[in-house]
Amino acid sequence: MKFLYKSLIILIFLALLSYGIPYYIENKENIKEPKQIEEISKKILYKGQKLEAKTEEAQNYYYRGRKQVIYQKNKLFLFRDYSYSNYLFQKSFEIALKETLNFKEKQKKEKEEFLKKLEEAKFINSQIMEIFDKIPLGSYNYKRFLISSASLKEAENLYNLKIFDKAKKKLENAYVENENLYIKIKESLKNFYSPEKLREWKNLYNEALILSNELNVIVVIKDERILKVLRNGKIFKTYSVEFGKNPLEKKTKSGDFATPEGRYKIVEKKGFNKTKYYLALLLNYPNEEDKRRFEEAKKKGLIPKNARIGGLIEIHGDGGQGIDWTEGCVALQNEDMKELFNLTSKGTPVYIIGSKGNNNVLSNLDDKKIWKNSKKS
Amino acid sequence: MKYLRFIFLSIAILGLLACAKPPQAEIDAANAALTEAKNAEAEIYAPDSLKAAQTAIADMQAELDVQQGKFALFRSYEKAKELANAAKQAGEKAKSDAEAKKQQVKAEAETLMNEVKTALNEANDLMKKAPKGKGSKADIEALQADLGAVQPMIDQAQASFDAGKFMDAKTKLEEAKAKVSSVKDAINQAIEMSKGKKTAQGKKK
Repeated sequence: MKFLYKSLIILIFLALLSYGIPYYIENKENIKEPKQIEEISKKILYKGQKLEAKTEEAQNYYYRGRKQVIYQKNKLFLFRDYSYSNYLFQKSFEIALKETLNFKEKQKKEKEEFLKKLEEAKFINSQIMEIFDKIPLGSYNYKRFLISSASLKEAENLYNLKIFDKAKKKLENAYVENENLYIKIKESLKNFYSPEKLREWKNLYNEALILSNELNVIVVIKDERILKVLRNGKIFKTYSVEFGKNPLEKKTKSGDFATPEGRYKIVEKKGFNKTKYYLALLLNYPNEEDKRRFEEAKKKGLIPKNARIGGLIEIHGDGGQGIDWTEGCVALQNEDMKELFNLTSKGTPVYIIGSKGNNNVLSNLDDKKIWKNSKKS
Repeated sequence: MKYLRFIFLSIAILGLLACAKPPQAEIDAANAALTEAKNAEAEIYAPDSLKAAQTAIADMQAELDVQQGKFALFRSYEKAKELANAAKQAGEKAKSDAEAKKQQVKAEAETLMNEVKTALNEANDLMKKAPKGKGSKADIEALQADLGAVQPMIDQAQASFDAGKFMDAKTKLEEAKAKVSSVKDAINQAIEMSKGKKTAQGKKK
């Protein structure tokens, strides 16, 4: 009987061992080490840290989770409970994920804004370039254009190299440079194409046309970069020309690199051995009108008291360089100069005007698109 | 006599158990490996490996803390020893990863240095070819200031390179490359514009 009892007890014990413990393990939550959630939590934490998102709190939870795992591992396996580690890893995962997503969202937004602004700046830049193609805007504006173009390209290069913070700063500057230049060009063109000036130039052109019924007349039109020879009230020849550094300005004094405007005539024809610039036609600048204006400007303090009026304004060769390079003269390509030289004589009238009113640059400047784009940013 | 033998045996067993001490040599080796990894600039060149090593050290420390919290007779440092060895290996991996990456970045910086210097020379040559006016410098020379800023950037990068800060040198060179290439593009654009005007002149006649 005693043996039977003992056997029964042993049987119950064995049954407990083979069924009870696995059942207990199977049904008891958090008895197993939470490896999966820990791995996920670590991955997202590392990812966030790589992106430089705010992951300090998540990292803290992660380390606490690891500590708990170690603590639980020191217990007898039946008594282990990883629920707190699980919670800590879960918390770390949630925070790291949230911060990483926030950071990515912020980064995405910043990149979108950057690209939008870059496109706008490039659009403004291309508009300025188009204006340069159509009209001589002068050396100062051209230099600013080159610098702002380089800034814009640098911003784009930095972005492509993933140096985002510097690209952003560079773009801010490049955007302002391009926009300011555009505004400045627009203002100076508005002044240049004032109704009074356009009227005056139109009158001069009509006068030249009438005069051309009697003799060949030269008309230089600054904004179109052309020189026309008028004959019998019609255009007989057209040549491209280059000016000085301030092509749209009206010459007021020596050294301003501007080309005078008004009625002139050829006072000397310089052959091959008399000029450095192939052939040259010397104009009677300064004429009486120029002298009067010069004195008036001096009195008004618009130019320095020691300023000189300048002279030696010519139509000469050596043009075709692709830039405005003279000191205020009008330069033609040599073969054109030769032709022109033969068409003119001492006394040939030369009219220099700003515009004939044909250039549509100003109307393009009022294109709403550019301002619609730039004001949005 | 029998009791006395039992007492001595108990004392001997207790003594042995009480002598369970932290595996100081392994702990020191693990910490040293982490320090070496940091000295090898693993933070810059192998951040993930460094984090793994730091986590391993934290695990080891946690195990040590657990054992320290136990009654002296029940302490066991076997697990701590295992963790210390794992931490040491992680530290060594971080160090070797950092060294390998550093060499890679060094090679990249060297290539980049040559590229930037070549690009700078090309930009300077382009600048010289720009058309000039009567007794005046070319308008393109407005970009000279931008181009002038590249050489100090190269010098700074060289200083970083010489000091073994290859990543820093590489970043500086990338910035220099961005600048010099932007100036080159602007010069080319200006030359193209000038050519465009020449072509237009030909057509207008």
